[in-house]
Amino acid sequence: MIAVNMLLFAFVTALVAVRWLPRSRWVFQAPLLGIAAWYAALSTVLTAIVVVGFGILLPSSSPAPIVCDVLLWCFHAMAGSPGLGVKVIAYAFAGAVLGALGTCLVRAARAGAVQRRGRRRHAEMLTLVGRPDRRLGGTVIDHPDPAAYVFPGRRCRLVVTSGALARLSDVQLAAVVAHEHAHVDGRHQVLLDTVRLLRLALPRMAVMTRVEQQIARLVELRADDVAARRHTRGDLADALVAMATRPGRGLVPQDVVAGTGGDALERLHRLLEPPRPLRGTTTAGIAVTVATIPLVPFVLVALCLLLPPLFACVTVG
Amino acid sequence: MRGFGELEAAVMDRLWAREAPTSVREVWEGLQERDLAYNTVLTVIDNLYKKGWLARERHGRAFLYAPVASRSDYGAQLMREAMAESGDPAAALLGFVNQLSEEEGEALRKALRSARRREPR
Repeated sequence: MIAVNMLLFAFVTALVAVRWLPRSRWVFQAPLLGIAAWYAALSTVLTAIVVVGFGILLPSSSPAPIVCDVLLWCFHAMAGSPGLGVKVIAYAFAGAVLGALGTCLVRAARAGAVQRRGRRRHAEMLTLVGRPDRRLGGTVIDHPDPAAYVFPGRRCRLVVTSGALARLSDVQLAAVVAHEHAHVDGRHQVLLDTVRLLRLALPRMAVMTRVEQQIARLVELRADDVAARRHTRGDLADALVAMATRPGRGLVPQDVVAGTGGDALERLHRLLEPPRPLRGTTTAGIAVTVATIPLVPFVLVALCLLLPPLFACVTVG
Repeated sequence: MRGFGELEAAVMDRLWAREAPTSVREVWEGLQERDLAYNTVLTVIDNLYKKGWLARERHGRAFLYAPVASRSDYGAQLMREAMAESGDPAAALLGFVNQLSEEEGEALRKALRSARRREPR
């Protein structure tokens, strides 16, 4: 079992993703490819952890508990065959892994239930409070602040405030609607929700917050790109500024101010000076890499099972 | 089980329009053009009360119902939920753009103005 190599590969993948993707030029040029890259990194890490976890939990045929591959300390303790002490520690470790896995699953389930309840309440509120607008193809909420969003569900609802309708010209509104429809067509809510639930399932880690922010950033860039196919970037830019700035003094929720200004500025610059699209060969190369990396853990397992002599020289100890 | 819908919205409309605690009968009378049974309206109002959208007070033998909050209060809450970041159950909805602070908004406007000035047309 090449547990250490797999975990090392997962760690390196995660490190490269977190260090490189947020600043990459190619991600800025092709946000959809960037989203795929993030997901490839996430699935690689998850697969590696799950595979190693299974290896630790399942009884193995080899004399040494697989946990010894992960905990290199017992490498020496096994000069002959594993003693009672090693076995006890191995079982304890397996118990800890099972406990951690179970905790994550419970947290994910709870977070999912809370989200579903919250969204159901929000949907009911929308039905009661909003006014359907057939020409717009969505629901209007009477509110002075300009805002527009899509609400996920069996029928994705476009929601626009009266403040937005007042501030935007017809073409600007059409551009905003196109942007929101791009979110629906691209299933961006699912992409975002998956990462969010993963973050909530795991113990609090700054890196997972970063990943969620990056997915949110890329999803907006992608929707801008899609909307720009049918509407001018100038209209999108005007709409962006009109929607992000308030006409007068109003309530700004405290938690909204942090971290969103940078995104709006980046989007504006990107709309006004769009980056050159990636060359076909570059896109192909990145796509192939992104598709291949999540397969590595499976390849390692296959090698382990099919070619024991080979794996004997690539394992540690 | 019927989904939450248009009838509930119509009932809330009437109750908001009334601006005073209202009986089921008065709501039913206001919805005459829909040709609804009294019991239907009663069920809807009772459900809305059970779900926390309405408050009620006894008035003789009947109950009078009123919305718990105004329409604009709920509108503001919807905006907060849609636009707020993590921590909120309905959070992470895909809005067009979040509202910025005064300084960030000014920076955004300035960026747009200088870009427009650079354009030849």
